Amino acid sequence: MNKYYKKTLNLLEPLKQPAMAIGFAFIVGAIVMLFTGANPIEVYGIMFKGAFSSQFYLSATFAKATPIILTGLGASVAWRANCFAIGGEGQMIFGALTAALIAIYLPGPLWIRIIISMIGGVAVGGGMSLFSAYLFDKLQMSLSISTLMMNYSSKFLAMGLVVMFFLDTTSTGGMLKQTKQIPEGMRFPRVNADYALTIGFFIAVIIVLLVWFLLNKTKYGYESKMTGYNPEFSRFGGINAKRIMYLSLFISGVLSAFAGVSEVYGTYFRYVSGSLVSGGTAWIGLNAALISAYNPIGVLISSIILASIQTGGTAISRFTDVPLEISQILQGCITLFISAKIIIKWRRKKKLIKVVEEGGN
Amino acid sequence: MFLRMENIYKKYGSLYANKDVGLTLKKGEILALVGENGAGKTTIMKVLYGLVKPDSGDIFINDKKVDITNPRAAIKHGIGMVQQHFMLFDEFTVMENIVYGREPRGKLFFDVKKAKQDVINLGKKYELPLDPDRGLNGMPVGLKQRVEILKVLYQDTDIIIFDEPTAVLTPQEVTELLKTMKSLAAIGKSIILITHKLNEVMEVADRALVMREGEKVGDVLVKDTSIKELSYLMVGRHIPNRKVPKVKVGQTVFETKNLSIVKKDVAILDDVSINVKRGEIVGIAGVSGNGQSELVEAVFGLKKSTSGNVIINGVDVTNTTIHNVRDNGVALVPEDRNIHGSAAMATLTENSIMGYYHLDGFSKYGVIDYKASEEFTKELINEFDVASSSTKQLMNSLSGGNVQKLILAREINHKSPFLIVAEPTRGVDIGAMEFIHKELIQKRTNGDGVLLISSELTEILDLSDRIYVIFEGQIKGEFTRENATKEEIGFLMLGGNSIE
Repeated sequence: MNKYYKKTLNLLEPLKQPAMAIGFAFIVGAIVMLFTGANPIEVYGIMFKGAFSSQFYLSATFAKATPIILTGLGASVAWRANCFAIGGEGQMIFGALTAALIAIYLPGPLWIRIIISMIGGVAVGGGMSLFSAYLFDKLQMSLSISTLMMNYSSKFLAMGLVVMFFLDTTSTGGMLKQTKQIPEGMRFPRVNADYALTIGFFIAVIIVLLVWFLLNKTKYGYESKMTGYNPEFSRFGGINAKRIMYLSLFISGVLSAFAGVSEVYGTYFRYVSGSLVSGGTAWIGLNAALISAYNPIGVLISSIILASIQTGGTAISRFTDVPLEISQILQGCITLFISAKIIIKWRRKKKLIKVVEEGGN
Repeated sequence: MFLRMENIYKKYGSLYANKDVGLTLKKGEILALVGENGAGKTTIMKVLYGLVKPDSGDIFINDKKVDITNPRAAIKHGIGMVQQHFMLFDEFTVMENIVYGREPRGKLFFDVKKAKQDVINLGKKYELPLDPDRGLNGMPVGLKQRVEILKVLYQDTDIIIFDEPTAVLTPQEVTELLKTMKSLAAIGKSIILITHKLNEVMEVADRALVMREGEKVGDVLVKDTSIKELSYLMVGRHIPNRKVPKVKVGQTVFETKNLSIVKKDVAILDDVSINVKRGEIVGIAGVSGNGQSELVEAVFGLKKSTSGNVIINGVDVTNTTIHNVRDNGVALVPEDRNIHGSAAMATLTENSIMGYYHLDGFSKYGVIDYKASEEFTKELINEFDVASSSTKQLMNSLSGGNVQKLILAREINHKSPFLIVAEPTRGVDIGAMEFIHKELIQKRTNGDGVLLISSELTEILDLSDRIYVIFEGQIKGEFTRENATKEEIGFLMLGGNSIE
């Protein structure tokens, strides 16, 4: 019995950290609501219903979670290996744009176009990430800065490209900065015609499992983890740190770009300028990665929770006087508590290292 | 009695770190706290310094019961601790480091002038002069320690805990420090010295408190005891005199030919030609920082050599990858076990397969066989008697000696014909040291070659069949077991000019 109890506990371990950060955030959120005169229990009830209560809401939540999961995995792979890259947004944008353009303009049978468009999309994202790795390797340019800057330039470069060359003038007369739609036969099929959920979510879940396997069972996973723990020890153990950095950043870029691809295939069916930026998807994904301590299963769960705060937040504004911004407050608090957690962890780590160095007991 | 600790209990899981430990300290007394790693001496000191809350037990100062719940309270009660790993800011000056947290204030702001004067006065008072404006960057370890001591004295402490203070010092600095301790005691400060080194105890302490497995096993006046008795109390058994069996020397397994590393016109390694044969322990004697680390790095391709060759078993591996060097039959126990030898936050298993995870039996098609790795780790733990409860526990939960044992186990177990060990017993207790030495000799007796790099001359002399002396990157001399003398090697180690 005891053994099974322990096993269950081990399985639940990845849930502990997200649960704590989110729990604290909800407490703070409740205090804020009390100040505005609303009843937090009621509001949270509505929020919960708005996110999970019916198939409709549930599928909206899962659809929203899909790109968060993928960017979250992307961030996890890089951060775990001590590569603090934050280029998820830019990679998503160009992954989406590339995939959309290939899907729209490449001639040939649909299934070939699907494959080439997806591979093209993720390759561009991976390539962008590799470029940052190269800048760091050769010019010691900070990874966080180069990736962040590329987010901005990607956003405007993509917009420019769409407006100048690929603008869809038919549907809205060019009012919206968007490309044409990809053919219907290429889109992700919906699970139920009435709901937003496509197979994209299930693909993301499969990718979660693949990344879990990659990180926890493979040689690469071991090497990246050990490099994250102690780069010097890893160097002495024969791990090629550069290889791990390039590889981790490439995989990270591919995953984030696939988030963009899945949005094109499952949500917008075209590249819409600004659509991937406005929701802050990549950043929420980074949040998901941080709260779950880079554990893919944890990323899956916290992404769904973070998505539910968004879908539930819309419900709040529909049914109560509490403004929509409450969901942003909640998200802000979650970020805050994650950062607090990171600092505590960092301090504890330092303390532990010290204890070990002292050779004490 | 100035300080009294009574019936201190502290339990971690099922293990007693402290079991009914009592301790007394008089004014002006130097008390040595000795014991193996894991004996509980760090724990009892952490209790005193407010870093660990005991399960039960009382602390009295001047017969008044006190409650020490954090280091601030300890400092308030006049207890200070000189940490083994200095808690200093390298970017700051001596003065800033010393007054940090207790800065003298002028009307509004930090009174820099007064602070400097305070530091100068403090230095004069305790005969530990230091330039208050000097930055800590690049300062020798001995002086940094002096800053740390003055920092503690600046807090008006009466009881000073020294946590293994000599582990990081050169012999000269050690002499200096012991002198300082004596003079501090002479003016009425009470000192607790945590140490492994019994000769220091004999030299400086008035009384020695011996701990073993969390319990106090001895409280003796130093003038009434001997190193032998203390070590018997510590390990609970007599340390046998080691007899190294004669073995037939075989073929050369490791060789460097004119190996040099030149950096900015300075030769860090200068024309080093050494060799190790099968069935030999070859020692490299030298004060730390004379090119030993660079030699290891050059062999493993971690630092590119500018000229010369490294030959393993007849294969030239000069400036190749560490994988290649390891696969050609070299294992390494690095000098700094926490930085280069292990990852504190990783599990014992993850630590145990480092360097070998790519080999058959540990991984296949890029997937690591964690089940086999766990089994392997269990084997290492059993064979090398590593005190641990599970292969899944984190490395940082082991004591220093056990970390070193596991690292050694990992490197020996792969049966590579050649092993490099650097400072294998630094900071470990006598029991672990004895064990490690035995394993090294066993490896040699099995017909493998061992290169032993150590700044502990006794260790070199005890174990080595042949000895090279290194100074400023150059090999200054070669001795056999028979013709080696401590005096001559020591002379060469210090540059062959004079023994300061």
